[in-house]
Order: sequence, then C-alpha cells, then structure tokens
Amino acid sequence: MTTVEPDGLVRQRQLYGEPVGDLVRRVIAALDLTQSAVSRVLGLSPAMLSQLMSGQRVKIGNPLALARLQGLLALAEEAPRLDRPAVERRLGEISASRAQLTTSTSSGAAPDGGALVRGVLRAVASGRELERAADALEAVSPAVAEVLRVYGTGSADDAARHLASIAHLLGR
Amino acid sequence: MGEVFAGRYELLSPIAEGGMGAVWRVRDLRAGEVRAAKLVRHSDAGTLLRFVREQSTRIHHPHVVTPLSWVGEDDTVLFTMPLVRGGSVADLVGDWGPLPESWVLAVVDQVLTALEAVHDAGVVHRDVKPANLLLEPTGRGRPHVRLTDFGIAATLGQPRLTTGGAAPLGTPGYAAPEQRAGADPDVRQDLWAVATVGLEMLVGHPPPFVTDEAPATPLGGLFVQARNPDPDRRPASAADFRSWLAPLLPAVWRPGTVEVLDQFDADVLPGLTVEDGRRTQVLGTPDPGPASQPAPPVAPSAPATPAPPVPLDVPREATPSAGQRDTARRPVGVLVAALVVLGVALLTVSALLLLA
Repeated sequence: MTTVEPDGLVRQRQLYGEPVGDLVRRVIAALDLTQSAVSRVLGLSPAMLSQLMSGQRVKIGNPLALARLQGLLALAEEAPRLDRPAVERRLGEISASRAQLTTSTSSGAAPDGGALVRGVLRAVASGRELERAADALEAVSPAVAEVLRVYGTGSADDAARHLASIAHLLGR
Repeated sequence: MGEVFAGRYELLSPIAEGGMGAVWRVRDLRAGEVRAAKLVRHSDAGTLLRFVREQSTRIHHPHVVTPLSWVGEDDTVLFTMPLVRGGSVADLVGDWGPLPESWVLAVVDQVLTALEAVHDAGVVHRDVKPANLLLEPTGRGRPHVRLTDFGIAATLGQPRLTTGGAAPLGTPGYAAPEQRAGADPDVRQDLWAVATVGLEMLVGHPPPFVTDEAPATPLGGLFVQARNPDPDRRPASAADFRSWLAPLLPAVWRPGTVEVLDQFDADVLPGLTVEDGRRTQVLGTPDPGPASQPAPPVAPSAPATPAPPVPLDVPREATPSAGQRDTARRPVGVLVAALVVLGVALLTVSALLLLA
C-alpha cells in the first residue's frame, strides 16, 4: 500500500534528507526531550517548529536553527554513550552555538579556544564521523588529522595541551 | 480546571519567564476572556502597581501594552494584560535569523514611537529587548509591535521605585553601559537598547556583537552610532532617533519570506512553553547586599507541563502592604490540611528513625 506524502514533506526530504518531523522526533526519543524543549534549544518559536514538523512550512528560515538541528542529530547518535550531565552540557552548547565563526576581539591567550574548536567539530559531526574523517585525512595531512582527533574526540585536557603546543604559531 | 488565582484567574499555560516574574495565559472567569497575566512577588510589584493606579503614568498608545488591572493573593500580585498573539521580536529573530531591513525599520520605528510616549510621561523603560517587544499576528503584513513589561521602569527625576535600591537593573547585553554602571535613569539608555535590538535583527542573533559584525549599510551604521558608549553622541531623544531613520523608511511594504506566526494557535498550545533565556536581573554590583540580590523566579523554570507559578497550596501570611485590594484570603481548611501533611511527614520521619 502506498500513501501519497504531502508536498511539504516531499520537499523537506529533498532539502534535509528526511522530513523535519521525523528528524525532530528522533531527537526527542534519543535525548528524552519534550517538543518545547527542542524548540528552545533550536531557538525556534513553538509555532514555527510545529508548522515545520507538520510540513505546513517547508524551510527552516534561520540558518542558526538548522545548524543547531544538525548538532542535535549528532548528539542523538552519540547519546547512548553519554551520561545525562554530558547530554545536558552538550544541549547547552548547541543552544548557545552560532554557526558563523566569530573571532574574539580580546587579545592574549584565549582559554576557550580549544572548547570553541571542539564545539564546532562536534556540532557538525559525530565522534565516529570525526574518527573516520581523521583516518581519511591521515595521508593528505597528518597535522589536520591530529586536529580532528584531538579536538573532535579527545578530552578537554588533550585540546588544551594541543593548543598550548601551537600557541607560538597563533601570533598571539 | 487549572489552578485558579484569587478565585478569578485560571492559569492556562506559561508564556514567558523574565522581568521579575512569569507571564501566563489566563482565563478571566468573571469576564470569560483569555488574557496574559504577569505574576510578580509583592516586593517587586511597586512599579507596575503604580502604572495601574496612577493616571499620570498610564500610557495609552497603540504600541504600548501596560497592565489593565491587578489582584493580590498571598505574596504574589497578578497583573492582567491584553494577550498579544504573535510572539515577540525574540521569536521573530529565532524563527528567521537575519531580518530584511524593511522589517527592522518598521519594528524599530514603532518602538521609538512607543518610547516617545513613554518618555513624554516622564518614564524610562530600562528593559527594552526583543522579548519585551510583542507582535500582533499580522502574518506577512506590516508588523505591529507593542512594547511591554514596565517592571523595572523608572520615573525621571524621582527617587527609584524598584526594590533594587541603588542596584543597577536591566538585561545583560541590552542595558546601556552607564545603566550597567548604576547611572540615574536617562531616556538615552532606552535608545541604546533600541539600537541593540536593531542590530540583533540585522545580524540574526542576540548580543554580544563582535567588531565589524554590523552590516556596512547606512542602517547598520546608524545603530552602531546610536550605541555609542557616550550618551551625548547618541540621538538625544526617541523623536531624534526616528528622524535619523526617516530617510531609510521604504515607501512600500515588502515582507520578503518573513511572517509573524500566531503563537496561540490551537495546534501550538499543547507543547507551549516559551522561555526568555535572558532574564531581567539585578546587574552585578561590587558589594551586593541582600536587598539587591536578583529575585528568584516566581515560577519553576522550563516546566515540561504547565505547573502553577507559585506554591498556591502552601498557606502563607499575606504580606502587609498599603493599597492592596481584592486580596483573596486562603480558607482555613488549607492551613489545616497543610498542618496535617506536616504532621504525617514528622510521624513518618520519626518512624523511620525508630526503625533505623
């Protein structure tokens, strides 16, 4: 039996790979969130999220919200390996994240530089993806592969050590 | 039926959190109408009470929403306001990201007309921010903004009305530098905040903004200039600011893809809990005394399901205050029930201790 998918959902499938409703319901199930909690993390109004999920509205208008949805989907994939405080922390990071990379105007050592890079990498890809990406890059640029491993899958201390080791190259 | 406040207002669902209290959608059981209601602790209610009671500070303006009436119960005051259905400018930025100049100009110009009236009444709002700029659900039509939440407003040239005393109040990111430093109320503090809202609408995210982030357009330049740290280099008044913008106002309304959604549509309501992540607070002071601590939120934050904003079932002695009216007294039965609960709890604890 075939059912005809509403036009909005078809177009969402073309844009995002899956209808937004399916993506959000996957996040809700994996992270044990309510729909209104998801709307808060995405920064979308409840009315907007509701219209997107029903396909009544096709496109996610705010590029930041789209980036945060990608972050939530990556987190949903990793969630089984994370404890609740780790999930909450990542939710906070995703909620506060801004897609465009802005440079801090403060001079001197930036203690959060490592966290920023970690946040960016983990917002766009899961840990497994980052490992595979690092493997793929190994032959082309071992240094870039190391960056992906250290900031993408390593601990905060690993990132801080790496950042310190290249501080002289950052022109601070 | 949900929790009923003061025997008259049924609490339906929380709308927002911030500005020293929570905002709920309520049903007025006497008038049969749905309204917005702000629940504020008695100690924080002074300014709003004044807005309701004193004709001189009542501001009637198409772009201003002030409380219609109030009622007190225990330690809490409920202010009713018309329900504005289109969400806030914060929702608009969240839904659409960077907004077209036509939207930014329309919103900012309307806010400035509101501030002209507010400032003419001798009042400085002090908490202009996207979450306090409500929108009528006008869809793709020209927006209609209403400035709300006068909870920390101050009267020019008079002693402060708020309980914060000398502590600077406002919302980080939107309060002008001198306001954060504790300066006396000045209309140009509101203008700094309006310029910040304008920039947020242009760049699509809340402050802080980094250097060079403002668009290199005439409008972006005007907002940067109006956010000058030196108040003397900002527009002198809301009317002055409007005259800066006037040459840029388009003759024809072009909405682009943006539209204002009805946030109280039946489809949305079940999952509805909006939260204002940036709460109005007492800004940092060098040596904050107990009186200048931020008021704890009246409602539990981010309830998954609508919860009553105050522990109404816990009897509390009503705070004595002048001018309180329509105050509902808790029936004695509730007090008795609470004592019984307390007694059972004590017995349970004693039993457990004996067993251990």
